[in-house]
Formats: sequence, structure tokens, C-alpha cells
Amino acid sequence: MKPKVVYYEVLNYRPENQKLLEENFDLVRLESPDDDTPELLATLDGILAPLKYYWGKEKIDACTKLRAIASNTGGAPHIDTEYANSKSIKVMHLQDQFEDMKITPTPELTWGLMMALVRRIPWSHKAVTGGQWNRNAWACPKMFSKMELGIIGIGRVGQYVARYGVGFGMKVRYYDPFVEKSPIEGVIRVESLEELVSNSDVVSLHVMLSEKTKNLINKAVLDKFRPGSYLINTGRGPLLETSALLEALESGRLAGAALDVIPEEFDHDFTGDISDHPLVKYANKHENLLITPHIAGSTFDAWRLTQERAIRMLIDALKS
Amino acid sequence: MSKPKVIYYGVSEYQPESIQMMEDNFDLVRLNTPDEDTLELLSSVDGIIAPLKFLYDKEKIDSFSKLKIIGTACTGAPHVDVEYANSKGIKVMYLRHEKEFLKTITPTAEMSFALLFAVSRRIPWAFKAVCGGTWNRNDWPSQRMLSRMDLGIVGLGRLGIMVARYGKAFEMKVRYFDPFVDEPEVDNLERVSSLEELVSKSDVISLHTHLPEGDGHMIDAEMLSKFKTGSYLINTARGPLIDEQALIEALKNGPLAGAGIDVHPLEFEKGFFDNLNDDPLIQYAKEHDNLVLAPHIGGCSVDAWRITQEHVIGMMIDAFESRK
Repeated sequence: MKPKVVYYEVLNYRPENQKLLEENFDLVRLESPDDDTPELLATLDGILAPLKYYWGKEKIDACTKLRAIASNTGGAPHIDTEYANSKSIKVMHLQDQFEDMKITPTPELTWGLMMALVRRIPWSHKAVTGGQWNRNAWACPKMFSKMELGIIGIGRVGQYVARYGVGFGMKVRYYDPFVEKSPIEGVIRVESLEELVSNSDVVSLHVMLSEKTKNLINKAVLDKFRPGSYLINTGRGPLLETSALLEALESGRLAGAALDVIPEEFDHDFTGDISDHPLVKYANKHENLLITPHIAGSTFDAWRLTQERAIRMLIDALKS
Repeated sequence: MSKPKVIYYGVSEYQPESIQMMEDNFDLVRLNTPDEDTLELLSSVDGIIAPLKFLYDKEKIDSFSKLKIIGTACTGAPHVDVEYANSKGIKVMYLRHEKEFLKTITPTAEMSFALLFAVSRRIPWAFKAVCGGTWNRNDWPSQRMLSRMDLGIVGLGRLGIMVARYGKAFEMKVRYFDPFVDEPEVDNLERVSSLEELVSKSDVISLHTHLPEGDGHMIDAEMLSKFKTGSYLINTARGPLIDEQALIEALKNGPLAGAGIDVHPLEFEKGFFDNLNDDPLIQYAKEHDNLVLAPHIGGCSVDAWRITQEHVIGMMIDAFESRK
């Protein structure tokens, strides 16, 4: 008998991956977890958990036969992993899988945002489509090859970004208390966060979120940034304190910032309406804050590959 | 020994550091534009910094009597009759032959990648949605990650080679078409023998070539029809390389997924700036989300301006020295 697994249409998996699900599981299709019933949950062996729906204690308790939860994401902020594990439910995501799969959209978008910000692409594009063509209005202060790049956290994504930096002729340093020896030739380790940010023209954040790293970049740290430098965050929203960032942008300490993440996006009551968000309000009035809605991982080919990997992990987990 | 007398025109908008360097080394005369020149002044100067939009032809050059050096902080000197100047023993200093120096001036090559990212990752439009108050991750997928795209470079000169290097850093497969480059400085580039072959194999085409002789566009409707479906076209080189109407067609109906353009096809046409709002390409960009336009800012980096100005001033200082 095949294991019983629920697939939510909101996951929007590629057709070939839906076929893979059909072949391997007794598949139940629902539109979203809003349609879950206690009767159904109590019969499931496995779940593919969509990012926007939270799997906490209550939900997990309803799944009395559940053995595994899989998510085709780089982490599982939407799953109470500790609690699930305490009930012997395996939680699987792709954090350690991206390396051998060569999934690169996130470091690539990091670089894309950095270039779009420094070269002022969204704003000059807007000026041109508004009928203005003024070459001298959009100069950037420095070419990339003369800028110094600081990477906070030299994990998988940080390493890619460091390599891009080397490829663009930048001097690249990193700060990561857990990586003693530089994994990349020519990339220099520094001892402290302060040393890193005070010597960088661009700083990019690639650390995991924990109680310790929440508000890692706060006012005290931003005060140490090189005047006129840039900050990029495609990691996790809460690493960066919003009020301190806005202050640094307003004062000119930072020449600009680009964010693909905001602190509130995984809150349980987050609706996606951000019209009143202070970052959005600022971005609407200035030309030095670039924000995208967490699209770093969003490429069709990466989706196809990561969906397939999550399904295969679930198949393996439910086999045993 | 008195310093050489040199005119600098404010219209050149040199950086403060560069102006200071001239003050230190020359007996500097500062005017706003060559319109303020007097014959008396011209007959007394040893050097000038020639601003781009003013012509230095035979007649103008003849109005100098002691001139030894014309400097201009550009790669070429299209506004100076170099041949005639040389025939009068006047040296023209610009950057084209400063090959090693030019290898350090990277903003234009960097801009090619900035545009590629902006259009392929849909940055301006995703940003616009956020500014409009909507946070939806799933609205903005891109076709493919860069590391699985093939990059095709048209013209493997100074800038093309930089772009090839960036492509390698992103683990792209990089091919080039350039009839004049047999042995590139970058390893593992595949050379193809025709532009048709290059465009039919590439997911991204980036232009880094001069304008061809004659009137035709290098990238016209016929060439665009040979592009790979879903590919991107980036132009930071010369606007007229691309036929404007054909580009719009290819963006509307394929095969292009998008384009990033820093050099408008009509930028150097008379009247272009008077009718920006009527321009079909700008109109198209206003209404669609697969064309990024920038107002020819590829080279616009303050440090690059300063460094190139200082380099040319340095060349002039050396040339004056050697004449002593």
C-alpha cells in the first residue's frame, strides 16, 4: 500500500512533479491547509507543507499517524520542527541539499540587487520611462572593481557571493565565527563584525536566524559601517533592525540598501499587505532603498528541481 | 621654469581632485566653454583640455600658435581632427592606446550585468509591486538561474572580455563571436564562427562591439528571429547596433524574454531628446515588464571619471616634461 500524502494546490508544483507524487503516494489533493479536516489529518503518513501555513503543536497533534513533513524550501520557519521531532515526525527541508544540486538563484539575486542598487537601475529606468534622459544624474560613487565586499556568514550562499566578488575584481572579506579557515582563495577572514563593516563598501548578510542573530545589524553596528556604504539582505528579515536601517539611510551613513526579506513576512498574521510598512513608506519617498518580495529563490528551474528533491526525500522517509 | 599654460573648460565637469592636479601642475586658465575663447588667449596657451561637444577642426586648431598638447579624458577623440593636429606637431592625448590602464576601468562591463540581473530577475517591477503595498513571493518567478544559462558575447574587446569573466564567475557557459580574437585572455571560452550561431545558442547575448560600416543594424529583424526563444539581449555598447522596431517586435512576440538597454538606438539622432515620450521603445517600456532602459549611464561612476581625468592629465604632464 502506498503511503497517504496530502498535496496542496497552493504549492503549484510543476506538472512532472505532480506526476511523481501520483506515482508514489496515495495522494489527496486539497486547495490549501484551510481545507484540512481532523478526519483527514488523522489518516496522513506524510505532508508537503506550503510556506505560508504554520504547522504548530495543535496542527501536528491532529496528525496522529504522521511520519514525515517535507518542504521544498531552504529552511522550515513554518514548521515547529522541535515539537514534530518530539513526536517522532521527521521534518525535511533543503538546507543541506542545495549544495550538490547547484541551486544558485539566491546568491545570484543577492548580486542582482547589489548591482541594481549601486547602479540605480530601478530609478533611472523610471526616469527614462517618465521621459527623462539625463546621463549625469545617475552616477554611482565607485566601480565594483574598486569596492570592498564584506560577507557576514560564509555558508553556502555567502561562498557563492564571495566568489562573485572575486570575479568582479573586488577585495572580499568575511566574518563568520564558525569558519576559521577561508574556504575561498583570496577571501580574507576578519575577527569581528565591527572590523568587517568598517572596512567594506558593500556588506551582504548570509547568516541563519536565531535568538542570537536577531537584530544582528542594529544601530550600534550600523554606526560602524563605512560612510556611504551599501547593505544587502537576502538572508532573513529579523537580522536587520528596521528602525536602525531607516535612520542610517536617512542620515547618509548608508548610501543605500537592498532587501529581499522583511522581519514580519513569516508572522502568523502577515497578510501580504505592506502599504503601511515603514520600509515601504520610506522606499516610496527616496531613491536608495530597493525592496523585492522574497524572490531570491524564485526561478522555474530551481522550483522544478527543489520540488523533485523534496518529493524524493519524502518517498525515502516514508519507505522505512 | 614656468608651468605650461593650459585651458580647462568648466563644461568638462572634472572632479575636484582632477582640477586640483591641474592647478598644481599647470598655469591653469579656467573658462566655462570654448565659446569664451579669445584669439589672444589661444595664441598664448601650451595645452587645452578639449570638451567633448566642441569641435577642434582645422580652423580651430589654426587659431592656436603655441599649442603643443590637446588632452581629453575619453577613449577616443571624435571631436578632434587628430591627423591635422599631429601634422602641426600637436599631440592629442586620449585613452584608446592606454590598454593596461583601461583594463582597470570596469563600470560599463559591470553595467551589462546589472541590466541582465534587473531584467532577468524582474527587479524593477517586483520593486514597484512592493512600493504599491503588495508582498507576494510567487508573482515574480524568473525562467532560469544564471548558472544554467549560456552567455554569448558579441565582440571580445576590452569590455567583452570583462563580461566573459563575470559570466565565468557565475558558472555560465561562455561563447563569443569576434572575427579578430583567436586567443582570448580568459580560459574556456568557446569561439563560434558566426553571429547567427552565437545567438542561436545563447540564453543571454551581450553586445560589446563598434558600429558596423554602413547603414544596417547588426541586430535586425532577421537576426532576432534566430535568437533562442526566451533569451535576453543586453546592449551597453552602441544604440544603433539594434533596430528599434525589430527589438520591440521581438520583445512583444518573441523570441526575446527581455532586454536591457543602456544605449538607445536613436540616442544620437537629431530631435531624440525633444520627443522622448513619443519614442516607441520608451513607450513600450512604460507598458511592459520585460524591457529595462537606462539613460546611457554605463560609464557613469565618479571614481572612473576621476581616475581617467587624472590619467590624461598625467599623460599631459609627462609630455610637457619630455619637451623641456
